[in-house]
Amino acid sequence: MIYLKTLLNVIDNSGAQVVECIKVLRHSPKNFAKIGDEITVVVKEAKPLSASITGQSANNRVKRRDICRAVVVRTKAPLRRPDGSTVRFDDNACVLINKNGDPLGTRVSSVVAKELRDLKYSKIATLAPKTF
Amino acid sequence: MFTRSIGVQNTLKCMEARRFVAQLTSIHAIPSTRTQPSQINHSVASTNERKSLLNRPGLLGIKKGMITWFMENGEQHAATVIEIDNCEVVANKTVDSDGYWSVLLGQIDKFKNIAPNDLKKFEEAGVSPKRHIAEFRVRDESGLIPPGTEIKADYFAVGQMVDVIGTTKGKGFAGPMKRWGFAGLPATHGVSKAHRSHGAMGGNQDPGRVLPGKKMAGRMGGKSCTVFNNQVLYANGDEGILIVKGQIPGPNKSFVKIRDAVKLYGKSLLKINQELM
Amino acid sequence: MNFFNTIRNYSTRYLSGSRARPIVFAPLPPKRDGEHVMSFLQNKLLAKYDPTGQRRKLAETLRAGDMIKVTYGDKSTAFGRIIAIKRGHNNVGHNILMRNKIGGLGVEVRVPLFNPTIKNIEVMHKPEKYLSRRKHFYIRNTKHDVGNIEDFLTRERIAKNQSN
Repeated sequence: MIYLKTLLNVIDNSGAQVVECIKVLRHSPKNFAKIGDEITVVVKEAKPLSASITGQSANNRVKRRDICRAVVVRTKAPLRRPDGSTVRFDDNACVLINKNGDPLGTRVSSVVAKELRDLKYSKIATLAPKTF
Repeated sequence: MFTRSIGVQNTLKCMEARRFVAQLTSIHAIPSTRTQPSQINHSVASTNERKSLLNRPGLLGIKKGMITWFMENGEQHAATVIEIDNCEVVANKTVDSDGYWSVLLGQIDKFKNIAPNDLKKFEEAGVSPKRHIAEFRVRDESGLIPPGTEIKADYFAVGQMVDVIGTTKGKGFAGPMKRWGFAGLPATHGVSKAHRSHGAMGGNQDPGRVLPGKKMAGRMGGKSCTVFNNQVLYANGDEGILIVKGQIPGPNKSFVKIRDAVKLYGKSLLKINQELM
Repeated sequence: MNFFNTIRNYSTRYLSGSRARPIVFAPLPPKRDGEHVMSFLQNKLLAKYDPTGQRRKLAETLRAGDMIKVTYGDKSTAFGRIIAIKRGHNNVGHNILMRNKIGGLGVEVRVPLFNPTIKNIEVMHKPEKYLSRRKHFYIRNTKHDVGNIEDFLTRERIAKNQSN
């Protein structure tokens, strides 16, 4: 359940650490984002810029106050699967993407939901160390 | 002379031919055409035609409770169990006697406290006395079923869509917040003893009255309600069990009517069939 | 009701004065041998989804605190420590809520016990001393919280082998 003003952890190496949701895309204003939904975020906290650590060029990294798109990969609210099981994680997390849906970073650091594999974000699911 | 006469005859022939080819006719001279008799829209026949009536009657059942249902591919759904308990045809209504076609069904056998007049009707039908009787209108004579026939749960096919009609649970006298989803008044800022009330009722001197249909507090629930397009998951005539996907109105043990779906995706099935034809 | 069973057209007609009492027809034979619909259906579904009775036994014997391994039809597995068991009434709606930690992050999954896509549910570990309460929702993010269950079970297995 990701609304306006929800804070999310960022689990890729794009440079952002904590972002805030400012818009849930393709939903009615009263509705919320679930796993696999796209949102617009503003970067609240970012890692200090050092290209040597991440091995990326400086222009590909995001800074504080940047506005970008993200896809929700974990939620605290339970997600119902068609077989009747529900899955919930201990935090809300997202991965930053560009307008085509490709991730900005090159690595995903922790577990993501299995649902991303069937959506157009299968690249994030393959980058992740584990899907659940 | 000879040649001239031929010439005259030719010209006459030409004139004659032209006269018959190019004939002007006045529109007033068109012979009368037969038109369709004008349809009276407020007649019983045309009213019945406009209604989305089904070709066959439905079924009576008892809501028994909700269960978990697994599809063959492992999908899990909430489902409602409906018991079909000795549902038999009690009588038919016809255009000649009642002005429309319909089938009267009865369910659940009952032997005590039946009026003698009712007993006579059940005797005519050849069925045991029934506790609950309901009526299903049908489109024409072909939809009637002879009295005394038992209709079982496998009357509906597994996978088809049905509408379920029941009476919702009574909620008693409910306020506008519960009954209509009003927002209520603020908790503070000088509001006194009116936190859950509706606000204004309408205008002032103009119109000088509360408009009809104003949403107010009152009796909630206990009204007839139809749930459209429930999928049939299981139907077994010998067991008398019908299971539909999702929920249906009313408490357990309440009587419900089940019929074939009258509309699909907001369109009446009659219209869809007409378009296909 | 015994006199009804002989013939359907049994009549209770008798004459009272000049007017005849109407005939009362006997009811149709009872379905399911008169068994209640819900209990009949429950037995039928349990026989279908749990022919061996193993899952029913699990529902009775499992307790919050046990560690289980769930194997799905596509051979994927899920480990976890049970924190709650919901037992369905009159149906096959039982489910188990289990918790695990993957990479330091808590993940919880509610497993439908009788779902045909689940191949096997195996009890991996039972604690010597259980925490109090039937539902262990309170262990989240406390000192009682679960660790990585897979690592725990591997360590336990190695320790057992060494002691043997």
